[in-house]
Amino acid sequence: MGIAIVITSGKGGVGKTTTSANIGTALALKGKRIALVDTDIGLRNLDVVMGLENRIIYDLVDVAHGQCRLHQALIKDKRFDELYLLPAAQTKDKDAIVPEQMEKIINELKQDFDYVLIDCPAGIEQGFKNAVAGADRAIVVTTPEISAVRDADRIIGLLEPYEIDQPKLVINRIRPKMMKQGDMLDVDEIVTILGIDLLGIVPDDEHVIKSTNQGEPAVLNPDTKAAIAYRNIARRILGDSVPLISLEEEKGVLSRVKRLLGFRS
Amino acid sequence: MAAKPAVTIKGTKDGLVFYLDDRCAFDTLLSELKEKLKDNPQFLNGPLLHVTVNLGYRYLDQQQEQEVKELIRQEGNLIVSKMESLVVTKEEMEKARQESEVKMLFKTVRSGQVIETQGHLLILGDVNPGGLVTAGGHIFVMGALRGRAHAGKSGNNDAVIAASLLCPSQLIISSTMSPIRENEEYKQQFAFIDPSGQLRFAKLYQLLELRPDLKTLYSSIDHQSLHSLAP
Repeated sequence: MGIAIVITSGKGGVGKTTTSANIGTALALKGKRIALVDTDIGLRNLDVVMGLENRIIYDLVDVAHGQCRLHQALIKDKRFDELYLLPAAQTKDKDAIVPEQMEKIINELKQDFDYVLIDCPAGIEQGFKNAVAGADRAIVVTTPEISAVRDADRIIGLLEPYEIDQPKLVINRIRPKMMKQGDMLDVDEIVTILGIDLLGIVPDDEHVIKSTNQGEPAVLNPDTKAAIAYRNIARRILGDSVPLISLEEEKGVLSRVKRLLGFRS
Repeated sequence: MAAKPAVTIKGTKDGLVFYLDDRCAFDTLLSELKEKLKDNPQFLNGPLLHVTVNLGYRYLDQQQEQEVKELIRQEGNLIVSKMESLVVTKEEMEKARQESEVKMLFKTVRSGQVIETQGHLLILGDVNPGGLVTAGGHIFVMGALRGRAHAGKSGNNDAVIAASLLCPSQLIISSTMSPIRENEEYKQQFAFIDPSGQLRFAKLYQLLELRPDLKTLYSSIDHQSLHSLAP
């Protein structure tokens, strides 16, 4: 029986889809069986980021309405044998499915996969409720901007009634230089306000934009800082019962920021 | 009349007190009250007087209370300032209990969440921006108060809002709002309304000095726990 993790943020454009694609790929690199589920019905993106857009035949809504079987809608990744994508429908809207249907699909996926990563749409309406329905854990993605942090706080509050462990935080698009100068919200400050455990921080990296546009998750190129950050996040997900792994091996500015924050093994 | 009079009027140092017998019928009471007022025309001519009505173990509903008040007002130059009764209804009791209760909350109040209580509120956690906490009485936050807080919402000017770290987006006590100050932080302080009606801040150690009534809050907690033991 696998674990379903929803990746959510409240605010749009903070990197939920990028984070889902990269954590999923990083976990697949570790040899895990992974299913990525795009729940952003009507505005699907995960297939594009994964470079699987032209392979879609059936989608999430078709499965929910019984128009196809689950394994027919799953798209196998081009790079990994154990990485699959369940794409969202593009021609319907978020009301096309209900949380009960979603829960059923996620439970079915959990039988076959080690991790089911659910990419949540922005907002707090039906799409959010659907995405959260079957999840066991949650990752809240935010950026060092006040509006993104506010929305993350709202989302953490909305997750409370669900049977989900306390969400973990990923702070995306950090610019170490700006943070150091005090022009950007500090990692410490964000963690203090949100009051949840930090799963990882990801620096703002041009390589992410480039690889996203090519349909190749950034994590595949191990030379970039963002790739290392995502790989570390994946390792922390796997080593759930052990304390946070040392971030010392990360080189450059990032490790200096982390040392500044008191991260030690 | 050989029987005990249904209405006795006594002068005390606090003014006139009407003692109304709690054994007779309400109609008897009214007619006798009317007679008594007619027999004492000196009331009519004097200055406007405030009186207290003591009902003993009689319970009057709102309409009956109004009848007594009107009768006294019509017949004499008198205004009922207080009605005393030794009995309370369960509803009144429940309301009083709720208002003196301290609601404890062991969580962070996040953006979009609203916490409401008729009594006092004690939060062991933060109140984040976008969160709202309201109470009929005091609000104490053992954490950072960054959201909105409204204490004494039913018109209690004596209510206070205290927090380990006060940097609220908005504070209201009773109906007085704090002046908007950007990026101000108050450590170990509380907000209160001073005698001139201004919302001000003071250090926590001054709390009992400015609001000595808070001492009784502790005993009221004790009282409640006794209450909850009763069947």
